[in-house]
Amino acid sequence: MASLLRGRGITKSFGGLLALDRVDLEVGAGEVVGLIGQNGAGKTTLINAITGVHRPDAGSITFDGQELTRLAPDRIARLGIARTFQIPQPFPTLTILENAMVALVFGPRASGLAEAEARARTILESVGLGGKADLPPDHLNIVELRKLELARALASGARLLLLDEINAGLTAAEIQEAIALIEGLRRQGLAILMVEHVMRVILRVCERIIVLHFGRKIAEGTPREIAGDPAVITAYLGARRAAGGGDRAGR
Amino acid sequence: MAPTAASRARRTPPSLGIALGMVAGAALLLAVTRELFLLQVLTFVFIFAIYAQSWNLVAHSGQFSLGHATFLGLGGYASILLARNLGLPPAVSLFVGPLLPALVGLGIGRLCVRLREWYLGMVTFGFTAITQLLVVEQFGWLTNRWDGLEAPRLLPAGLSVEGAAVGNYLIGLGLMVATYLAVASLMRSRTGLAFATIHDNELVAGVSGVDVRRYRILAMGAGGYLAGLAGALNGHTLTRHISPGVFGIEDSIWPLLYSIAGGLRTPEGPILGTLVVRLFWELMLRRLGGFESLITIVLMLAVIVRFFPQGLYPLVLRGVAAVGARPAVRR
Amino acid sequence: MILDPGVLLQVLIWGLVIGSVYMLLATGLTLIFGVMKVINFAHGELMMTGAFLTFLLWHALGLHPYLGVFVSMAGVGLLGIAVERLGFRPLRGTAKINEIFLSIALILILQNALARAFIPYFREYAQIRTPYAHRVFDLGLLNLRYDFAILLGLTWAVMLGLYLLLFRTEFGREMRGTSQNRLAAALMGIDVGRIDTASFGIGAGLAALAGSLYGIINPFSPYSGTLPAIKAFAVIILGGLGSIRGAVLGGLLYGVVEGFATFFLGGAWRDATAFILLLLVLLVRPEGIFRERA
Ligand SMILES: Nc1ncnc2c1ncn2[C@@H]1O[C@H](COP(=O)(O)OP(=O)(O)OP(=O)(O)O)[C@@H](O)[C@H]1O
Ligand SMILES: [Mg+2]
Repeated sequence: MASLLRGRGITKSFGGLLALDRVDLEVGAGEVVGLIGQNGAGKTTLINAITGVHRPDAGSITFDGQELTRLAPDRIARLGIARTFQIPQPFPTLTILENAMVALVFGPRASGLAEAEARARTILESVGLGGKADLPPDHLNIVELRKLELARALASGARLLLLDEINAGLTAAEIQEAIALIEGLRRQGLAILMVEHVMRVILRVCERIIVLHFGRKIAEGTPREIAGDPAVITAYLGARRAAGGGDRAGR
Repeated sequence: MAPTAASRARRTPPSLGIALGMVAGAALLLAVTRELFLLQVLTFVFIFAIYAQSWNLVAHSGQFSLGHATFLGLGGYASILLARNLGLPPAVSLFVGPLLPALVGLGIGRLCVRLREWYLGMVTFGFTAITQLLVVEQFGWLTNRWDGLEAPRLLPAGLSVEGAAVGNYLIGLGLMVATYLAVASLMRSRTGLAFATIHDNELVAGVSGVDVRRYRILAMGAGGYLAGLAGALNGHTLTRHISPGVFGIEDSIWPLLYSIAGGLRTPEGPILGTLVVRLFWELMLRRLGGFESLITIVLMLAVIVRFFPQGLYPLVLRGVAAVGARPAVRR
Repeated sequence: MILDPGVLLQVLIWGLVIGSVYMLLATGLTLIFGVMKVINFAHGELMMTGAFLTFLLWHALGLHPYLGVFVSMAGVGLLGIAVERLGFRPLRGTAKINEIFLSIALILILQNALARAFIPYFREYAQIRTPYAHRVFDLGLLNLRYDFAILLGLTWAVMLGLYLLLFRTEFGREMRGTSQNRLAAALMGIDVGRIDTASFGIGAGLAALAGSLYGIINPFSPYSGTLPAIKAFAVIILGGLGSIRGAVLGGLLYGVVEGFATFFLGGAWRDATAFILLLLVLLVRPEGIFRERA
C-alpha cells in the first residue's frame, strides 16, 4: 500500500523530557492505524507534531510526499489532515453548526458558506447532534463534545484523520456505533490514525497498531501480534491492568 | 458562555433593515429640530461610532488593541496633509488618507502577530506614544509639531452655520451607515468566520485550516483604515484642526468603552454604545464638571460590564422582541 | 570633552536614578502579573497618585518628603488593595476583556480623580522640593546630588526589603509558588486570594515610591505616569513577564541606556529608546521571549 503519511525519526522534547524519541511511522491511504501507550507515552505529542502544533526537534514527516515539519498548522490542514483534540476544544462563541462549518470552509474542501452550512448540518445529523446545531457548544456534555470534535474532523474533507481518544466514556452501544462509523470511513478510503484506550475498538478496526512507551515505539504489528507481544504486555497492557484499566476521561 | 450576539450576527441578516431604521430615525430628527448643539453632538456620535466600529472589528478577530488612537490620528494627519499640501479635495483625501493607517495597521498586525491579550495590549498601548513622538519630532517639519495643522473643510465654503451643521450631520450619518453595512457583511462572510475562530481559539483555528496570521493582519489593516477614516472625517468637519493630542491614551480607550457598552463583536454594539455613552456624557456635563462626568461614565460602564457582560444591545433586542408581535431575530 | 569620565559618570548616575523609577514600576507590574496574570495598565496612574500624595503631605502639611514617601506608599498600597478586592477579584474567571476593561478604565478614573483633586496645583506642573534640592556631594570626579544619593539609597533599601520578603519568608515562598503555578498553589492550601491582594498592594506601594522619586527630580502632572508606565511595559516584556530579576535588571539597564541615548543623541530620543528596543525584540525574537504559556 502506498504510504500517505510517513514519519522518520520524529523527536520532540519539552525541557529535559523526551516526549518523542526517534519515532518512525507509516499510514497508508485507506488504512486504519491504532496508536496506543500509557499516559504520557507521547501519543498526543505525536499528533501535535504531525499537525504542526509542535515543531519536532528532529526527524521528518511527509504527507503525500510533501514535508510537513516546516509548515504552519493551517497549511497542513489544507493539505488534507484533520484532527480531534483529546480535550474537546470547541469554538465557544460559535454555534455548533458554525463549529462544524469551519473545517469545511477553511479546510482542503474550501466550500462556500452556504454549501458548508448544508453539509455541516448533514454531518451533525449523522453524529447525532442535528437537534442542537444552532446552540452554542456549552449546551453539550463531554460525550457530545467529542462527537462535535469528530464531526469537525469529518467535515473537513481530509484524507487523513488523527483521532485522539474520541471514544472515551462511551457506552457499549455507542462503542458499536463508533466502530461502525470508523469502518464506514475506511470504506470511503480515508486513512485514520487513532489514539484509543478502548481496546475493543482498537482490536476491531485497526489493521495495524503502534505502541509508544515513554516516547519510543516499542512495538508495531497487527492487533493479534500486539496482543501477544510480551514487551507490550509488560509495558502497556500489564500496567493498565494493574492500574485498573478501563476507559478513562481524557486529560 | 452564553450564546453570543457575535455568532448570531452572522446568521441573521437584518442589517439592511437596521440601516434603514437608523437613516429614518436620523432624518426624522432633522425634520423636527435643527438645534445646532444637538446636531453637533450627533455628528460626533456618527464619527466616533465609525471609530468604535473599527476597534470592534479588530476585537472580533481576538485582538484587543489599546493603541487605536494611532490609526485615528494618522488618518487625520494623512488626509489633512494630502488636502493642504497636495491640493487634493478633502472629499478625496478623506478616503485616500486612511490608506496610511491601513498600512500601519498591516505593519503592526504583522509585528504583533504572535501576541495576544495583555502582551498585545501593552505593545499597542506603546505604539500610540511612538507615533506621537514620530509625528512631533521626526516629521515635525511636515506636521507643525505641537501646534498642529488647520484642516480644510469638507463642505464648500459659504454655507450658513446651520447648513454646514446639517451637511456634516448627513455626511457623518452616511459614512457611519455605510461602515455599518460593510462591517456587518464582513462579519457574516467567510472572513468574519475566520476572525471569530481566531478570537475563540487560535490553535484550533489553525489546525482547522484558518490562516491565522493572514486574517489577524488583515483585521488590523481594515481596522486601521476605518479608524483613519473616522479621524479624517473628524478633522475635516468637527475639529477643523489636528494636533498631536489625538495620539492620547484617552482616545485609544474610548472605542473600547463604546463597544463594551453597546455589545462587543456585534456591528450594532459600537453604534449603540457610542450613542448612549455620548448622550449620557453630555447630560452629565450639564450638572458636573468634566472630571466628575468622566469618572461617573466609567463607573456606569463598570456596572454594565458587571451586570450586562454582553452590553446593551441584547437588552434592546429583547425589548424589541417583547414589543414586536412576533418573536423577531431568533430563528 | 564629551567623553570626560566625570560627565559619563554623571550620565550613568542619572540613568540609574531614572532607571530606579522604571525598575520599581516594572517590579510591581511583573509581581502582579506573575501572581494574578493581569497587567495593571493604570500603574502609571498609581505612580502619580503616589507622587501627588507625597507632594500634598509636603506642600500642605509640611511633612518632610522623605518621610512623606512612606506615608504615600502605604496610602497607595491600600488603594491597590482596594482595587484588587473590589475590582479584579469579582472579575476573575470571567472573560479576559473584562479584566482589560477594568485595567484601562482605572486609567481614566485615577487620572481624572487626580486632576480634579489637584486642580490648583497641576495648572502649573507640581514638583516636590526637598530641603536638599541644591546640595551636592563633591566626589572629585563627579558632583552627586544629595537627592540622588538618598533616592538611590531609599530605592535599594526598599528593594532589599522586597527581596527579604520574597525569598526569606514563608509568605514570600507562597507568593512565588502562586506565581509559578496558581492552581497547584491553591491545591496545596495557599490562600491565593490573599496573595493577590498582597501582590497588588505591594505593586501599588512600589509605584508610589517610583512616583515620589519621579516627582522629586521632575515636575509632574496627573498625566505624567503614562510614558514611564509604557517604558515599564517594554521592560517587563523584554525581561520576561513574571520575572522579578528581569524587571530589576531590565529597569536599571533601560534607565542607563535612556540616559546615554539622551546624552549622545538628544532629548528627542529619550522616549524613543524604549520603543526601538521593543520593536527590535519583536522583530528579532518574536517567539521565545513572548510565547505565552498555554
Ligand atoms: N506542551 C507541553 N509542554 C511540556 N510537556 C509536555 C507538553 N505536551 C506534552 N508534554 C509531556 O510530554 C509527555 C507526553 O505527553 P502526551 O500528552 O503526548 O502523552 P499521551 O500519550 O497523549 O498521554 P495521555 O494518554 O495521558 O493522553 C508527557 O510527559 C507530557 O507531560
Ligand atoms: Mg494524549
